[in-house]
Amino acid sequence: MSEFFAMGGYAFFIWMAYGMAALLIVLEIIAVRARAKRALFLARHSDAGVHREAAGAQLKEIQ
Amino acid sequence: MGGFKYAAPAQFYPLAGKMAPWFAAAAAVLGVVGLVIGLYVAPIDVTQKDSYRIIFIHVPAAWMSMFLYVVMAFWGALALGLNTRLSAMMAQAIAPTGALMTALALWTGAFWGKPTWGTYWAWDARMTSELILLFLYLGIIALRNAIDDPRRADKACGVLALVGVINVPIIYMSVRWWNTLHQGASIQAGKSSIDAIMLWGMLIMVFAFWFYSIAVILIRLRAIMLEREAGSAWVARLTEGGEERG
Amino acid sequence: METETTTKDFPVFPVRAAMEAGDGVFAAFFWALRRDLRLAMRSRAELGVQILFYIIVVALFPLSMAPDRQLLLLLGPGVLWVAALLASLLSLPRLFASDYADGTLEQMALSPLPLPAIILGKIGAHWLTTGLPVVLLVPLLSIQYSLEAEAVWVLIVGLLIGTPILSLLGAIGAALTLGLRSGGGSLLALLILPLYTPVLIFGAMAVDVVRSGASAGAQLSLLAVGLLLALVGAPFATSAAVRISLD
Repeated sequence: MSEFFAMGGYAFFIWMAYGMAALLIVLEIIAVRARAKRALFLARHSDAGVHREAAGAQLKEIQ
Repeated sequence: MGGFKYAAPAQFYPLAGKMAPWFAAAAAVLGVVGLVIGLYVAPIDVTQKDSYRIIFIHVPAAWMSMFLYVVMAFWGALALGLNTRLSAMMAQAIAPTGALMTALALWTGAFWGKPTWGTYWAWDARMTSELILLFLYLGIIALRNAIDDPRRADKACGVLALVGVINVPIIYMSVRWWNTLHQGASIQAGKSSIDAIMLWGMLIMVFAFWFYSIAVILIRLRAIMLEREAGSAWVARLTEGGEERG
Repeated sequence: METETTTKDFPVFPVRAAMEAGDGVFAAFFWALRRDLRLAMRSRAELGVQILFYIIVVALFPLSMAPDRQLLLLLGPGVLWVAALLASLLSLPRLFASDYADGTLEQMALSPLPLPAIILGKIGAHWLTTGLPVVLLVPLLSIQYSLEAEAVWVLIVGLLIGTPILSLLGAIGAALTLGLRSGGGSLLALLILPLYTPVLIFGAMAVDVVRSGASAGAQLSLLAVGLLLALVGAPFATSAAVRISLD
């Protein structure tokens, strides 16, 4: 096992390259999922926001 | 005419949602197989020893970086010419993944270069062009962020991507010629006989990167559709009824 | 003091005169060229500052290293080229900014005269006022780097062909970033400098080739091809970009 990780003495280069690839891919997946979630949330609640503003305006008119 | 049906965001949104998991799963499976072959099964290269194993991520990343730029320019041009919303969003969704692939190609190239040529960075034609390609990606992303009106951003980025796509081969040729003139760092890929299993590993990794890019771009595309079309009838219908789990 | 005017005095287009003159393309080109040159002459101080910027950048490099004659000789052509790139970049926002701000650009876009021809005229004026002085200063500045006559000649010819390409490519970026809030300057640099690289490479390479005893014909003709391509393509891309920014 340790022989595998040693990569014939090239461990530093191999794992720096593969490690950065893994890091970037994980970060992109997290970022894109967060963005999708946020977009869906905002799309769902954008109507509510509009209604709330409209409701607030109506309230002011009455007062 | 099958494809034409999906020209509108409203129709493409659920389709992209259905396709993305499949591409992601394919990317994961191929990625695991490719990694096992690349890091374990494939034999040690005669001249480069184990350091050559970086090829299994470097080459796919470099290919994707160039391929995605051309695809982005294509969708940008389509948005410019036909004034279509979906193609503009497609171009917008591709740019970050393209920039990531370019950065990854540069990084892995540096860590392959050190053991192979003794230096992290050389002003080699491919490395220099890749660096300039990264600047082109970042320029397009920065331009989009600077423009408030998304329709103007679509067209401006389309023009910039088109100018860039004409320039990339010119940049590559000029850097290459400059490089051969100065004999600074004439880098040759080690002339080792490529084993069949190495070739398979690389091919599998190329497809893994490809499917990964498609999956991520589709998910980002869905987010962009919602961001930009929030308040439209189809988004309202979508968020009220089904697709709750989407 | 009746000549105390701004760009606002020019929004009315001499359309009829231009049409009667025959070819709208040439009329539009020369009209824009003359107009922008006249406007540039009014802001001579600003032009002077831009040329000064070029001179200072060139003078800064020797201060950043040992002023070794051999080293300066080696670096000189590259420094003069990079400084030319930066000087061109610095002057680009001026190309459309004031016309955009006072609505003249919109009038130009709406006029029946061909917009690419007007834009080419503006680019021509821009080059004459910012690119050409850079070329003319080369013999003087090359003294600082003790460049030999051969190198100076190739530099002048290269810059003479290359700087118009910089103005043409830069115009696309200037049009795309019109009216953007977040610092047009730094964004413009990010958009345009990568596209400038082939010009820099061919231009600086021409000097190296001549120094090694060969002919720089290939590099200079490639620059000339680039100029022709930019002359054909850039005015159309820029006018598309202007229309996008005006929307």
